[in-house]
Amino acid sequence: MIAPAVIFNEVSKFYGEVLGVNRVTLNIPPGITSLVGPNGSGKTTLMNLMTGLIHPDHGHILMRGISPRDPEALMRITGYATQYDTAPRWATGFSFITTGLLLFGYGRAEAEEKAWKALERLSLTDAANRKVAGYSKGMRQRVRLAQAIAHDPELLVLDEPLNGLDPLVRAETIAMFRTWASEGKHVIISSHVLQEVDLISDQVVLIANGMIIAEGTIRTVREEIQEHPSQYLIRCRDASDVASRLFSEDHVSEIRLNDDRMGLLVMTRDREQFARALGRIALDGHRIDGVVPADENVDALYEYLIGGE
Amino acid sequence: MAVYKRGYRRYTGPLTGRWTRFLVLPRYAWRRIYQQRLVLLLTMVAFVWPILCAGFIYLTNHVELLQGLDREFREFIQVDGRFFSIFMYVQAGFAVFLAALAGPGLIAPDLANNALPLYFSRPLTRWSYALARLLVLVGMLSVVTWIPGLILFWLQVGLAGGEWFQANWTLGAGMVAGFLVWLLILSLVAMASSAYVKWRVVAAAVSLAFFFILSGVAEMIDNVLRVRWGHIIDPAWAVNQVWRALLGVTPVEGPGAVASAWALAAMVLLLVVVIERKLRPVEVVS
Amino acid sequence: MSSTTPVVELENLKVRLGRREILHGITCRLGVSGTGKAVGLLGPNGAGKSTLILTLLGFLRPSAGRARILGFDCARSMGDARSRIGYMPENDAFIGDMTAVAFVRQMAELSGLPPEAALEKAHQVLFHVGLGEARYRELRTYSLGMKQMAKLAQAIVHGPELVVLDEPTNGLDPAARRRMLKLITEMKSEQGMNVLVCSHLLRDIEQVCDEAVIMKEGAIVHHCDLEEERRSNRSFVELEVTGDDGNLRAALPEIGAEGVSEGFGRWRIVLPPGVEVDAIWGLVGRQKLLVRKLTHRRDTLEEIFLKAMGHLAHTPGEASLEVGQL
Repeated sequence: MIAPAVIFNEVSKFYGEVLGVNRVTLNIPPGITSLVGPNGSGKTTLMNLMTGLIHPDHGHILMRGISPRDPEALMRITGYATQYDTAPRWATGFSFITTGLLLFGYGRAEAEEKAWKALERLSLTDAANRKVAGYSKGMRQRVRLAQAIAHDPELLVLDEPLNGLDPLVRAETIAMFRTWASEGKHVIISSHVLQEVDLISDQVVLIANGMIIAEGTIRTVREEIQEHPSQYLIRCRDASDVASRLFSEDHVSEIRLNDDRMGLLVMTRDREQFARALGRIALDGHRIDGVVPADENVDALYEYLIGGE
Repeated sequence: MAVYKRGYRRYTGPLTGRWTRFLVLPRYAWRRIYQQRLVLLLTMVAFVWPILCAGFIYLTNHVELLQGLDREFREFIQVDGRFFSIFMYVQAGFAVFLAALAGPGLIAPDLANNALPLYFSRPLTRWSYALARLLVLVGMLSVVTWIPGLILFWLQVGLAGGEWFQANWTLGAGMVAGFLVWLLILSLVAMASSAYVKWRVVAAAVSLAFFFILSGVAEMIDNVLRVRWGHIIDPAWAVNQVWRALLGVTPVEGPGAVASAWALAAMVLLLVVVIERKLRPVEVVS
Repeated sequence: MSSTTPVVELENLKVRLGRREILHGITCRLGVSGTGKAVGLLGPNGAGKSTLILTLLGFLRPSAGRARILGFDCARSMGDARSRIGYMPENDAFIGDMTAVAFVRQMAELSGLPPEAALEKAHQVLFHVGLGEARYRELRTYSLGMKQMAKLAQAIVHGPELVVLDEPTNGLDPAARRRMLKLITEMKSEQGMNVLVCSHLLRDIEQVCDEAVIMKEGAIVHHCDLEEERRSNRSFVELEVTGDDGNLRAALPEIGAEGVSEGFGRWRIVLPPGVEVDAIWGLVGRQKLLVRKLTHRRDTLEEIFLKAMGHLAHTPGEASLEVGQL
């Protein structure tokens, strides 16, 4: 049996004249996938298309074999959390989740049990019986997440789920995502914190201007960008000497010296040769304090492909 | 050196004093209020009656012109307490509508998007803020009420002479005081509805409704309970009583000027409390 | 005010919100004003960070103890202090129907700038934060990132000595986040302002701050000087190698070091005092491995934070810490 995937085939969505997404094709396997892109690039449109809240003008979508045009079937296996603070003001944490579950058709006892479990997972049991209006921002974020996971979905679509969470809860939530990913579920999240995306994602999807710029694991995406040489940051004592040694290597294309003269940014076309050269330089008595590949992370990919300021 | 590095640099100059700072809000608000066409239009229309009154004053003081006129009309344009009280009714009416139009734009925009912490993290107390807003409203309403009123008064003094002044100076003082009371109430009502209601149109409607509703309720109380004191909760009625007392015109049947004054004072206090609750930089949800 | 007045000084500060006591008697001194440094404020939700900030701004009264900001008493003398402070709240804060210029200008004048200076500075600061082109548009037409920048602009337009930023990078996309962090760094290094940053993102604090304060349940559990920490971390090394590293663990004692493998060629190594990085290069060369990455531990703040929260933190070379034991 083929692993279920999230498939988009030539999907376009326009809101009148305003662009949502333009000819998007995706094939997302199970695991943690991060959607990355500037504001207004189409991430929220993609998520709304995935959950069937809006329908494409063109193309078709399959979410683990189910079409979003069949919301009854799709929403049973999908959990969705928006980025907006939208919990109703009359509700307590517990009643909010329970009500949602009742709408799914669970009996009251089962709904309450599931709600409680979800709240436990997000460490909200102490505040469960307080009104959501009195929650801090991080707690409201957690209650929305709890509501999304309460019915044990196979597919999670979460818009900026870690926004406003303190480091501890962040780490716990990430651990929760990892567990699900390892169970073969889809966890699709959008995020602006690129260092985190680096650490937790199995795949990334880079989107800008309504179009997909790159899709895949971080390393494969990087390897496919041939035209950019690899960058390394080097910390060393005698930067100028090290630089002149490196210049004599023919795989090095560019070197920039740090203002403090204790560091270099080296661009090289051949990673292995570079590592060998560096080893030789170190053993020849030049003190190399640090070597860091500067661009095998989402930040650099973003920079190359989408551009900064 | 001919290359100038021009970027943002920290301000390290002198700071302005308390009064200048206090006037910042009124200056900005004043500009914004008169940018609204409707406010400008209404203000201009509100000058029609004062101009007519000026004409009447001129007429009464030139006996020769009066000869050909109808006797009733001649009595009508005598410049006395009754004359000024009619003037006050008309202008007060315009004031109500002006306050309803200009009021909502005052506080609602600050509350709508949580700008209060930005204000109060600066050297600005809540009372200065509220007072500044109040000042703008009162100022704008003064332009159509006691300022033209005073001008008319001095016109009369100029034409009728010192004797008339000695006999009637209480009219001038009474008119100014009476107007100020009304303006205070109008402004507080406009501020309160602006603080509690986000949408301008609705806030304007609420400001107006305040007076109509209280007037209606006052009537109801009087008729249902068969008493006379119901009118005390109608601010328009109460203020009218106070004016009549100040101008020396016969009062209307019902509670006297003193009782009315107390009722008004209570209303002012209530409005101040209600406004204060909304002007907090931090809202505590317990 | 001398140059050794701390930016923030708390003496047994207790604050209640409604019926609950949120801050339980905090005492500390942060920053030394006039020196252009940044202090980071960290902690889980409910630790009292917002309450502390609101108290420092004078919006909340202490129920006991004292709080001082730039030497001014927060409960009594805030009138004068406020023209030297800038505040960027966490939530949306703007006036929809004003243009950016009018908004920043009004705020500048309220802080005590004369009208002409206010106008000049308003324009300057709006260009500085990147809103130059949009500055004549009404704030309600702005995107989230632009509103954040406008919030920052009104916080710094009057050239305050201390700027308090609550979650400044909230909701910003990567390019805007980078610009915001760059602006904050410039504020302290080029403009000489002191900065107090409250954030959940450890990396932001690490990048920008010189001092960090960690709060938990209404008390300060840790106060560290990040410069010191960075300097003293020389003996921990993160290494990533390509090649067959099977024998590396056994070979480490050759240079007197010990280490732990994380798989995929990644290692965490502790060097004893007196052993330098050169030894690692030598060892790696002898093992016929190529170095892909070599750094001294950079997750300084994360480790400090986890330790302060009382969580399990295992570093090679240290006995593992059990939960609750610090």
